[in-house]
Amino acid sequence: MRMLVFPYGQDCEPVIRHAGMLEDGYEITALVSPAGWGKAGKEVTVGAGSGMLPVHESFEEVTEEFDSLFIPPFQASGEAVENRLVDKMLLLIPHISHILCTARLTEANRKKLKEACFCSSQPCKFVDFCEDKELEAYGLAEPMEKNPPLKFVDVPVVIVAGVWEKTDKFEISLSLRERFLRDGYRVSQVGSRDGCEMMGFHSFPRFMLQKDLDGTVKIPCFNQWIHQMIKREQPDVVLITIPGALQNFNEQFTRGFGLLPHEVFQSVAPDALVMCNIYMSEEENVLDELSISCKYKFDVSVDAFHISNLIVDVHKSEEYNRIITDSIYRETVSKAVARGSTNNAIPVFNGLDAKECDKMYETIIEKLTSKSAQTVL
Amino acid sequence: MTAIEKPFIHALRTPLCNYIYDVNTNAFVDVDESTYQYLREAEQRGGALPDGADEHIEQNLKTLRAQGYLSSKRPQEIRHSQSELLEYHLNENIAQIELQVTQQCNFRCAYCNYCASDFESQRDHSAKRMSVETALSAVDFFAKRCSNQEDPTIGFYGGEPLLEFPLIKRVTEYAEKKLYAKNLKFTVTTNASLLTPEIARFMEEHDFMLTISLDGTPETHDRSRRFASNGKGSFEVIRRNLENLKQQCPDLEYSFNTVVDPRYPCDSLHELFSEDGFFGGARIRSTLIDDQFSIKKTVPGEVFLQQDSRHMFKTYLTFQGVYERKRASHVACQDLSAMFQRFKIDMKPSVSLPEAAAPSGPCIPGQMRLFVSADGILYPCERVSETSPAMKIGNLKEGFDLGKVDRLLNIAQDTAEDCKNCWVFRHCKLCGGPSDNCGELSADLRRSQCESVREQVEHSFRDYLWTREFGIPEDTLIKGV
Repeated sequence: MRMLVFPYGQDCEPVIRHAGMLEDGYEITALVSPAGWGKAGKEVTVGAGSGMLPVHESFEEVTEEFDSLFIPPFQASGEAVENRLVDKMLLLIPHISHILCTARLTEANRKKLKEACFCSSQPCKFVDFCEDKELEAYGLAEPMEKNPPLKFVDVPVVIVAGVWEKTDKFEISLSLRERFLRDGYRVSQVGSRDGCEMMGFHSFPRFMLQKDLDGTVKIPCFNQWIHQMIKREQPDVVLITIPGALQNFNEQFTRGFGLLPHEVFQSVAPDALVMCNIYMSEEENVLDELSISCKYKFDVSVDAFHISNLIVDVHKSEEYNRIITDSIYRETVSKAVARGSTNNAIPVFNGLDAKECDKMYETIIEKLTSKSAQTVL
Repeated sequence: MTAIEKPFIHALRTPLCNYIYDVNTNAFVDVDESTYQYLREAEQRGGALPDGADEHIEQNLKTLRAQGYLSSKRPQEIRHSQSELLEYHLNENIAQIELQVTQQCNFRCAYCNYCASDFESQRDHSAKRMSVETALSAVDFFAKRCSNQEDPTIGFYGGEPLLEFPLIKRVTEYAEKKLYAKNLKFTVTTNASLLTPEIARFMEEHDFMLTISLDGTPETHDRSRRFASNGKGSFEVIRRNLENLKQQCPDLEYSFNTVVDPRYPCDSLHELFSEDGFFGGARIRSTLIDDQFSIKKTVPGEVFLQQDSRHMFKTYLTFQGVYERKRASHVACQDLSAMFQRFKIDMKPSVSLPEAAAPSGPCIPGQMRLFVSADGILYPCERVSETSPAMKIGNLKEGFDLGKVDRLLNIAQDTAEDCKNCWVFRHCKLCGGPSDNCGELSADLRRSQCESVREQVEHSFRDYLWTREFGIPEDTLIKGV
């Protein structure tokens, strides 16, 4: 499938950067990004060592060939904006054979797209990667007994988590996957997003996000699901990325109260943990405190920090009662990481930089190796 | 001398208590009389602690130090925390642009900054209009630089912007089409005299927010706000237009901006927005006449000061729950709530001041409300002088002059030594605008306003502390009653 990506925005960057990891049959050939998203008019590298693609502002500008529409996850500011974006997508349907949807659109918009595909003069298939699935779909059932025992995971587990949302967790996990595969390891991976199957691994299981399912059910089920995956895939390493944020920020911004990370850490203990954090100035540096907090709250040790380019404007967030962030230039992050990396007990990296990511990967390998030696002893 | 011996503090008192404002932690500490007197003397001596503290004071100082107060740390360098991110803010993060669609106005207000006879260092009224090309290129300029904003806003400003309604219409439709994937907002700042049902309907359909200039009762309003054509007052025309608007476009949002002339009594203003069947309870923001560019300075009258204080006092009593809300001034209630909202943000606790920092005055020039003049020149906001070279921070064709923006952002470097030792550091209100001396940024001009800022801040500190002493809940202060 030659895919046109729309709407191409910041959330889609990891997939574009790692486009070489897309499964056979998927090829990104065109990018369209609405005006005001900061992408149109630029050129981006699609996959390491691949060519550049121009980012167009509208479909009319596209000269590249495509036969499918890939809808990546995106942050629409409100339902009205999502509706307008979907209206644009509808215009493409007569010209494409597939819509691959990894964005969590409203039910109404999914229905609208499905119906338009169904009614199209040219057959067009709507592939929905975000459909809710019950436990049964994962080959699981609610445990019969109360507090069922958990099975020990005897394959090294690397977990990537984020103090905040949008701190490059997905990007970091793809970069680590790339390096593990390069070095000949077999990797079983659970991504934090929908549609990870397009890249050859598992999306985060939907049952873990179901509101009506109790934690005492989710924890053993996730544990069991990971075991099934290991049995099937026989990996050398399991790589899990936890969606969302690690914990609440304050009384105003509770962000899931850290329940999902708690459930994951209870279910599968990490042998190595990469924590993605927001960008902070030198004065605000709290990384060491953060690692202590992780130890006490989740009983996990942070092995490496990645600093993203996200800044949280706490004052404005409190004023407007919603989290307001800035995504600053990556170069600024690199400079700050270079300045401050020696001040922390736990290594700090800008994982988006290839060399820095190599170092992060080496740190993880070192941790896994030493852990394995300890286990033998 | 050890670092602890020159605490960075300010001593202040209310009728009930003595306080030390600790600059590093940005916190107030309640202290007894003798400790207060001792630290006050220290502050007057430039921070150095005097000899001869008795055992009781020594013990109190020890306790305060142990709790993290009385640090003598001062910033070593004046450098705004956002300096490093300036390019990002101006390329990705502009929140709002204000388009000066015309310099013409159908009013000639007594206090208007653009009336040549009384004002220096500001442009005059002129017939200059923004061309369609300039307006649309301003939208394109904005579209390229607002990627980080969820709700980018386009404002229409004048002169009187409704004189150019066809242009406003064109720009609105163009921007909506261009920025369809943004939650785009529109605002217009208008005198409302030209607000026809057709215009109101268009604005309602396109989710505009109107800021309407109205100075109070017919008598007060018409004293200043008169038609250019015949010199007649404009109140009745505006009222009629607003009545039509309310009837025909009930979903159109608007608020009032009131310029208060403190030479005259203000009771009628408070009454209008509190008791009048039409204006009562409206959203309103009141400001005193801005005489920065004026040759004639406005001196508040005695009657105004008395009446204004009385309304404020009643409002405090209302907040405290001992005076009926309906009898208190709606204007004063909103002003106070706004002040406390600001205060809540400004009073965020801190561990200490950073090594490099800048006083709190300036916003990031051009990021919050980029003002685009009729001929496409960029200014930090609409409140600065359009004739001042120091305030011209770029143009639509060539983009921003980052050097000039950085200069305005770091305006406190001009008075670095004063600022490093000023207790108002975290609460300063001075941006680059007040330093503008007919085109040149003047340290002396900036310095001349420091005392007045310190007075204002101390006043607001006292108001805040008073409310805490009387146990008024923070929620009541912020949301109003």
